Amino acid sequence: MEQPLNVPYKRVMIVDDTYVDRYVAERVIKKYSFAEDIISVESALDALDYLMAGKDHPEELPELIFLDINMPEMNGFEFLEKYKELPETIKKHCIIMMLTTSLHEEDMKLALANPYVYRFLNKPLTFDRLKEITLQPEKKDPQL
Amino acid sequence: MFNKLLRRQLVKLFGDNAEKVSAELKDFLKVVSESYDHYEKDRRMLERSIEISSKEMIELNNRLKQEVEEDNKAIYQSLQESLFNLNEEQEEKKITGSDYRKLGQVAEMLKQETQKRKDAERERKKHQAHLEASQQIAHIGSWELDMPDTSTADNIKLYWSDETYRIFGFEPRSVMVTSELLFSRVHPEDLPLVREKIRKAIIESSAYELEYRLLLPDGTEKVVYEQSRLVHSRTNRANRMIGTIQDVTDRRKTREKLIKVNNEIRTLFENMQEVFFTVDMKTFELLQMSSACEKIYGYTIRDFAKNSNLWFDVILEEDKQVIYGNDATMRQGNPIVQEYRIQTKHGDIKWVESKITPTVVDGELIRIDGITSDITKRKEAEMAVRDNEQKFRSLIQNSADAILVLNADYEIVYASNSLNKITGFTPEEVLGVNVIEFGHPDEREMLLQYKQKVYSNPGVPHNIIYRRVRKDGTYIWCEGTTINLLEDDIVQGIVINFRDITQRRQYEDALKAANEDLQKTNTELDKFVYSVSHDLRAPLSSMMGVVELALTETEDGDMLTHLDMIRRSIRKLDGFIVDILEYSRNARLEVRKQQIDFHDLMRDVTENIKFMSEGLGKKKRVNVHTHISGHKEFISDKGRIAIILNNLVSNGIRYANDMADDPYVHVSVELKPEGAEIIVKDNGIGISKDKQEKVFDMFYRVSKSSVGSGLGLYLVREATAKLGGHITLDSTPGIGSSFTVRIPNLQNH
Repeated sequence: MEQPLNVPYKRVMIVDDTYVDRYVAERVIKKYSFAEDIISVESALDALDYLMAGKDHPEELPELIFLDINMPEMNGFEFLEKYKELPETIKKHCIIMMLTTSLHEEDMKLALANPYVYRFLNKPLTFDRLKEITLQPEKKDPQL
Repeated sequence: MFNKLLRRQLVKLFGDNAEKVSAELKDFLKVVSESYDHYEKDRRMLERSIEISSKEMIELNNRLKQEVEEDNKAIYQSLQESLFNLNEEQEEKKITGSDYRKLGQVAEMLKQETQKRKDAERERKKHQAHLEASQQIAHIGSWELDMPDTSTADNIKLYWSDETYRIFGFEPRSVMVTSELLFSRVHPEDLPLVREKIRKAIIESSAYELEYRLLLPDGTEKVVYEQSRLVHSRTNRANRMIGTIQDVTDRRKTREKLIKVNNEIRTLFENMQEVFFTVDMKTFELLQMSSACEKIYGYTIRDFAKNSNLWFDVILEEDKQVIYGNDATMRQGNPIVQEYRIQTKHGDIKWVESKITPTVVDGELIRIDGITSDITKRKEAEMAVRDNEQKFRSLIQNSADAILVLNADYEIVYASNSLNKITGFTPEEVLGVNVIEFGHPDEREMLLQYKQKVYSNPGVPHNIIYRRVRKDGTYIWCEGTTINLLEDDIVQGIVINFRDITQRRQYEDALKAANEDLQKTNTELDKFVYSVSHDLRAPLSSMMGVVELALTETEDGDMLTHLDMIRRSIRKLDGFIVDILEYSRNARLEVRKQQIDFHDLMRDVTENIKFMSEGLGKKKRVNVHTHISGHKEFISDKGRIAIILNNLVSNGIRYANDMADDPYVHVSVELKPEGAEIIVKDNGIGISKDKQEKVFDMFYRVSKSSVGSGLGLYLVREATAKLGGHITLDSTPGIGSSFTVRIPNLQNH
């Protein structure tokens, strides 16, 4: 019943401090061939480091970033603040999906008000949610 | 300053206040006084002239004349006798030497007699001159009428003194005096009377007195007073009439003026509201009383005259002591002023004031003169003032607030007893002190500005919160109100009332602190709930992720069933956490007004419950219909309306009736300017009557098969209440339920 998604993305990144959530996300993405490659990091700082490292090699940057909100050290929103200051090369290459358990309206509003955030998704990541993304990939242009 | 006579009259009427009469009356009285002066002058002159032309004078004159005449007669007689004797002797005898001697004696006698007569004549002339002078000075003329034997008024001889000529407007002795001459100068209107009177006097030989007018050719009118007397000769027959005529024009004029003035005074007295009275204290006879008594007492002068005790009887019993109290003073001859109440004839009570001037002779009170006036109005006004003042005093005495009254210099002239309680200062200690002195030095400027404001707005109360020093040197916070009543008749000062609000301020501060704490707690609680919900829900979503994954990776039927059981439990637990989270937020958060788009809201709601019926294991899919109509603008709290809609719709799906052909939930929203009516109607299993009241209770669940947290409808009711609306339920088991929620449009609030 659930068909592979024909690998719409080359490389995606998962930023989540919860191992189980990263594991589930990785498994689901792989299972339904959502992306060729998955970069999984356990903190926002690691994510920034990775992105900075790839600033001169855009081909190595993820096209899609699944970003959790509640994380120690640097939470999702703090990450977005830092992300804003990253070189245009990086920001042009990536789009961000919030992936969180938060049901707070304030969180959703704040996230969607950010120009780099494409969607606000609730955990867990399932086939249905991935399918949604592939069906309407251009619903919101993060660059505008 | 007034004529003595008038003064005496006035003192009689007004007592000591005679000199203090109003300016208007004074002018009037001055005229009266002058009239009195003239009158007196005239009277003195008259008295003098009468004295001069008195009976004795005339009689002396007559007697002299008579004596002279009689003496002369006697001389002639003896002379004739002597001559006769001499002739006889010459005829009969030769004249002897003794005869010549006799003759010589006679001649001597004659010579002496003649001398005597001449002297008498001189004397008479002197008197005559005196008389003429007196007549001229006194304007009194005299006349004499010789009446012959015939008793007719025709051939009478009339003699006028010089002054009489002048009175009749002639030069003395320039004309022949006749009765017709006299009558020609009499005023035509008085002529018949004068003619008749004189005729009668002559015929009856009687005396008369007469006052009549003269009209002189130059038009001058005079009033004369004529008196006549008969002079009897030795034959005892009245053959002469003498009289005086006096020009009384001025006197008459003065008298007329006086009468007029007296009439005016009388009118004045009659019209005055005061009663003037005089009582003979020996007989208690009312000597006089003005008619104003009827106005004051209702009783007439006659009533008072008949009952000499009436004035006392009408005094109220309790006020009679005033009279007793003053009696001794009055009997010592001191004027008294007393106030008391009377009951008039008509029964009303009046306040009167009576001023009495007693006349005491040899220690005995013989008469009283007094004035009684109605002072009811004045008294009422006085009492009203006193009453108000009493009210004011009692008000400020009984107040827990301290009350100060200041004079125009801002100095304390009155302090209520409560001042002591509040500040430790006794009222006596603060009298005369400028009230600013009790303020805090740091607030001096502010107090001075406040004072200025109070001054410039009379009658307007001003409020202030300031610090005030206590006697022990500590400061208290006070709240005061000041009002400038300097212009007020009763208060005539600036009134401050203040109370100690130190404690209240402490409470207020404590309350503020508590509130701030509470707000902090609230914020913390909000953060806590946020964290807890995340921390609880995050592992749940992780579990859900794993379970969903596992479900896709096995074909084993039992395994699939078990995993599904886990999935349901996780959902239920997550739903429970979400409900509690929402409850917490609803209870604590303020209503956030915003524009509500029900179309958007319903889209979100249907999105949320999209897969719900499958997850609940319902056999049939429940259809959700939405119908929105009416007014566009609707302001309310979106989050709370979402809670209401989410819970009502999800309940409708949860308790859908599997037996129904087409299970549905129908949401209709009707928007009106005043508010929204939301009806969520289903054809589900329904709720029995006895349970309908309880479904809104916290943690209440209708049956074992209930799948929710027991918080759903409780939350709906709470959220509705927060929005100022209310909810009703209409349900029939087996047929369906209908919830109606009415929420006001907060646009107008």
